[in-house]
Amino acid sequence: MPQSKLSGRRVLVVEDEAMIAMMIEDMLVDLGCDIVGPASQIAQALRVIESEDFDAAILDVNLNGVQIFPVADALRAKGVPFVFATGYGASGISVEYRDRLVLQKPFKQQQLENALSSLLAGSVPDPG
Amino acid sequence: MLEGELSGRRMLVAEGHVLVADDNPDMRAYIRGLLGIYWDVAVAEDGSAALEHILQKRPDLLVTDSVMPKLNGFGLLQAIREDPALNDLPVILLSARSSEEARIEGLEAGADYYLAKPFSGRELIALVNANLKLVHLRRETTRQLRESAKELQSRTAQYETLLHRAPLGVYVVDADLRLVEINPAAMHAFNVRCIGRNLGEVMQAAWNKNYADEVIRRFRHTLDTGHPYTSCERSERRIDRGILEFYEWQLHRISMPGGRFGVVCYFHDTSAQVRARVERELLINELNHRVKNTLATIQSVAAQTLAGAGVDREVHEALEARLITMAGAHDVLTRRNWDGAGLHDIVSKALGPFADDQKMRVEGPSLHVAPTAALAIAMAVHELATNAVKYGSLSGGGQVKVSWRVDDDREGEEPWLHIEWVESGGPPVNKPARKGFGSRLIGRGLASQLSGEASIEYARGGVVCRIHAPLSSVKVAPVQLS
Repeated sequence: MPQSKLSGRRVLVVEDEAMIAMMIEDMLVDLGCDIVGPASQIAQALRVIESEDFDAAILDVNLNGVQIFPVADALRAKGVPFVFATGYGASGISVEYRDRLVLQKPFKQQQLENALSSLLAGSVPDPG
Repeated sequence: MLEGELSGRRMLVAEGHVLVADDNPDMRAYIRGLLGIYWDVAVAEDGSAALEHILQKRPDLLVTDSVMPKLNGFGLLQAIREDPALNDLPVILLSARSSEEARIEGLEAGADYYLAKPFSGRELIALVNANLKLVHLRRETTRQLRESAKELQSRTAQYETLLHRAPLGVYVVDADLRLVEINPAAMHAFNVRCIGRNLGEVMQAAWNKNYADEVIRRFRHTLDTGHPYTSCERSERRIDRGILEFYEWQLHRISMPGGRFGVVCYFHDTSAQVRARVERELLINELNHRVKNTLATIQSVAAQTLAGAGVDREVHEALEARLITMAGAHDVLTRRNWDGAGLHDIVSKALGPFADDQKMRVEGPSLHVAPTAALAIAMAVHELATNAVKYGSLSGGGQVKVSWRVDDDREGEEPWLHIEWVESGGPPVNKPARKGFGSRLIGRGLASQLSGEASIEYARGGVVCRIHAPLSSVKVAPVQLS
């Protein structure tokens, strides 16, 4: 497996659709990342944020009809960068997060890599 | 009115039919002769004959003697004054009695004028003329009154029809902001019969105090300044009903009976439209979310399947790229709420992953394309671009130009859209040995989707693809409301 600059990064995946979560995991594995989660519910994601340390997160905007924004709030409070993955387009993102990175579903591995690289630019990988 | 002469004096003669009742034939003849010069005169020899004549042909004036057989002048007067149809007939009573007592008696019996015999002919003529003038004046006034009343009645009916049938809510407050008029369309906004109640109280019962106060301030402002007011569309929660209602409303100052001002409010409850709009947006968002998640799921399933079967990574990537182009076309459509997309946006979005701005030119008139056509065109552009990156101009140093035009000057015939894909500056082109998915998609799928024609030419200088389709099969059709 080629070493990428994302090697060893711990990334939280929040996605309620199992098939899509699997694909994101495969992409992350390909990029050399360690996967945290995946979480498929808000409460579960909040518990993970409280108990684990990680470098970045990918957030599905709509978890079974519930919007992801409480999770985004918790990540912001913890200072962890994140990217939204959505089918809604930018208009589906709450106003306070409009300036955050958004990946339009479906996306290619290259797009995910670009998004994570820009989130993590300048930060040092977590040795844990 | 005619002009006449009375003993050398000019006078304006009022027209009229005069009945003279007198039992003395000489006197009858004398008066008839006197008055007959100016008026249409009939005679009767006693009170009863006079009454009969009056009932048959109503005169404008009656000159009657007091003492007559059968029915005397007083009896005749009484009969006339008791009949509502006749009681305004002017009567000049003639009598041989000239005492003050006799005059008073005559006037009390209902005579308009009492003339004692012997009398001057000139005086009688002047008297008849003066009374006839009054008759005409009275008639004209009555006619005008009747006309005004009729006019008023029809205007009132018209006003009430306008107010009551108006599809807008309309209500009126007086200068004390009391409700004086509420039309049926406005009733649904009010809870109970509110006529006579203070608008402030009524508003505070329905809305929170801040909003109610703001409304009242607007009313007062219009009342004080005469400036009309038009609200923006806004929603407020009804405290009495617990639901959001949306209204657009307008205030105008109007004059009220009694010389004071009032304010009329015209309003429109837009709640149903607003709710429909919000639901539509939610539905479109949900649709897009579902479509995109489904495409992402297919992407995942395909990746697992192909990886498991040991299929080339290249195949996997081609499939993924096609799915993403379809999703991209959906994005463009969603931004326009699925009522179509700009052709420029569709082409640029599909080309975006393959070439930067220096390598591609997209030009043509602004054209709004229907969703199915947009998707088909996006897929065609994707296939052409994939090919160009692999073998064509985008594989090394070349360019792609996508342009289109509409020929709408074909006399009497429907306009067609012509789209052209032209590659240049790439390596020499060879015709592929077998038809790939791309050329089948364009040659068959796209052409039939657009009810048109499509051709791909593998010219040495670069691939050229031409798509021709009737504009009607590409453009968004106007919404048909059934």
